[in-house]
Amino acid sequence: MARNKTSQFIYYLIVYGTLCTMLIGLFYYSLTLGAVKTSLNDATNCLFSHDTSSTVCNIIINNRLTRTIAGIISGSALALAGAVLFYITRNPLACPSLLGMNQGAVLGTILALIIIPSISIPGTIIFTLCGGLLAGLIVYFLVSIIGNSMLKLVLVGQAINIFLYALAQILIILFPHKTGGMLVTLNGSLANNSWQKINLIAPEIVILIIITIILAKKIYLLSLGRETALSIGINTKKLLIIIFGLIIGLCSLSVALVGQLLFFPLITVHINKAILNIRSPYHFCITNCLIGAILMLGADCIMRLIYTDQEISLGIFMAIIGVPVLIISSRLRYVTI
Amino acid sequence: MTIKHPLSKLGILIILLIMIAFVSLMVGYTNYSTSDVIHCICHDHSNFAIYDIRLPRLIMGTLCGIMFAFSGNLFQVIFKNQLASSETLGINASSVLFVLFGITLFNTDTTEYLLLYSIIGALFGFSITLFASITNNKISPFRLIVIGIAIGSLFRAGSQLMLISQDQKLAAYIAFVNGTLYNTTYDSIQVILLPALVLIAVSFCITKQLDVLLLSDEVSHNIGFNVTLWKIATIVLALLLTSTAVAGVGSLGFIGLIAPNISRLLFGYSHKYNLLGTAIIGALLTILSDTIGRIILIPFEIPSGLIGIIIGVPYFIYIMRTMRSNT
Repeated sequence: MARNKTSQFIYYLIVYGTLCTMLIGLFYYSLTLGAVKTSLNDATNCLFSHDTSSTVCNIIINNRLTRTIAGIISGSALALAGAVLFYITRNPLACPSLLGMNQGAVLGTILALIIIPSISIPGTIIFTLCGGLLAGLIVYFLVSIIGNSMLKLVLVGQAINIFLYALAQILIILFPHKTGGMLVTLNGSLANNSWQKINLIAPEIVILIIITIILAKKIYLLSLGRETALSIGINTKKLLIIIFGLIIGLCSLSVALVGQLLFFPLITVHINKAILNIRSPYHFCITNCLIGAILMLGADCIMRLIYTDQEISLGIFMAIIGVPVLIISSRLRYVTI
Repeated sequence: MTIKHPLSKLGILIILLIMIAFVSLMVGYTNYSTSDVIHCICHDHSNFAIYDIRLPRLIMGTLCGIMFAFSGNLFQVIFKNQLASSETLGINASSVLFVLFGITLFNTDTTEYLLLYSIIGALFGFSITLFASITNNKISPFRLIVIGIAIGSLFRAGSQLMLISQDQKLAAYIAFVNGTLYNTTYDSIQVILLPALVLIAVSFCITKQLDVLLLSDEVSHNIGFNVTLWKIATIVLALLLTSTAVAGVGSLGFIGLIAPNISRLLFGYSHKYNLLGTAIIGALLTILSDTIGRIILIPFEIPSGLIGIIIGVPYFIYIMRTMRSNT
């Protein structure tokens, strides 16, 4: 950790420089990756010409670019939600995806498809938000009954996750025709994103991300304890409700883009803490967004590289990285933020 | 009215079990009367739906329910942790993954081989959970379960990967991941039957040792009891029970968590009656969840593992709530 101001500035410069370079690199790599070979030049030309008449450009703009953008946006949204939850609970295991919120959002989406088969995308998003909100409230309620400790919080979340998973599975078995397309999305995937969907969801997510980053300092103060925050003059109750809403919003909207991804926010927060060790709340939130975007795109690229001929869900990849992270973090003694 | 004597409680449970068994034979896509069922089982075996489809499921459900419940009971004794069971320790999911893995790798899917793969998987999953949760030679009860469930989800993700990448060979095993009695035949019962009966009998033989294991390690050591030896023996027994059951019906785990807890409520901690109770309640819950899954929305069938989760999770949270005062 840098001590004086100049070296701190250089440190941040290096961190942001590296992260942005990685992100841009992955962005272009993701555009060129696929069954149809395209060069970097093609990708650049297509990006700037907006001309979808040629087949290559059509693939790049309508297929790979949507996928890439969905990955960047949902990755940073999930990562940010994880960072905020990590702050306010001061719990190294806290992760929205382990507290049932994402699974609730998935259940909401499935219900929307079953109840109103011809539902429009905004309608689905409302269901998704309600699902996430409901799951979050249930976990919050149960934790307040059972008592909050680092491990109990996660255990209740896991239990609710399994419960909602079973419900989702049952719905899929009962209504196979209406929910058939959900199978891949259920485990997290960047495929099946259209411009229509991105145009609808991306602006909201970006707004939520900006609001959250603006609030980062207040969230940090809240994490120091209720009394401290109150004495500085923060309306803690109002702030907590706002934060809760932001987390639910970020999670549910990104579920609408990528589906359910267990462990993802947890992984980003721990990569951030382990490698960068940033204390400033603003920079922590922003770097976490970048790491989330990089991780999501990177994971998607790896899965596309390994399984070229079929769509394998990202959730599997995340579970393979996430479980060791969870195990290690459950053994950590630090709660320094 | 309260029933005090454990034998009368057992009697009531057995009557309940028989009743549910009859109901599960009677209802389904086509419904039969009680006399149809009795006639078919005792005399002519001619009714295909009852004798060849529902009866094997009933037998398999009873056996595997008992085994899951026993393994849960043993794990709860070893870890002195009411939340422990083969499901919450990640053992079921690991067994399932190894079964799928074995089938694709060696191209053998007879039940004997499933049993072998399942045992290896159970051992593997258990050791990972155990070593991941030990800190300073101690195991925190909540950490054990948090890690167990996480490892379970890791192995489940692995199973999904196997299912996606090798659909032809494994197509029949998709339901296996969630646990189901759907594919049961008399052949698969025959393979499971002998190990199941032996393991269940062995479990009944060690009730006294289980009682001692419930004491703190120092106390049992002082009365001349070889704690380490019996712990290892119990773990091995529990793993064998789990893997045999998984080879039979797949991951049907939450039964193993609930049954011992209900039995403990009814019969107390002494294993003399507790184990009998666990067996009956385990069988009862398995058959019940299978029957519910079959009849709730005909013609669809919900894997009983999922019904088990729906029943099990609220109970799991309830146990967590009561554990606050104990730990």
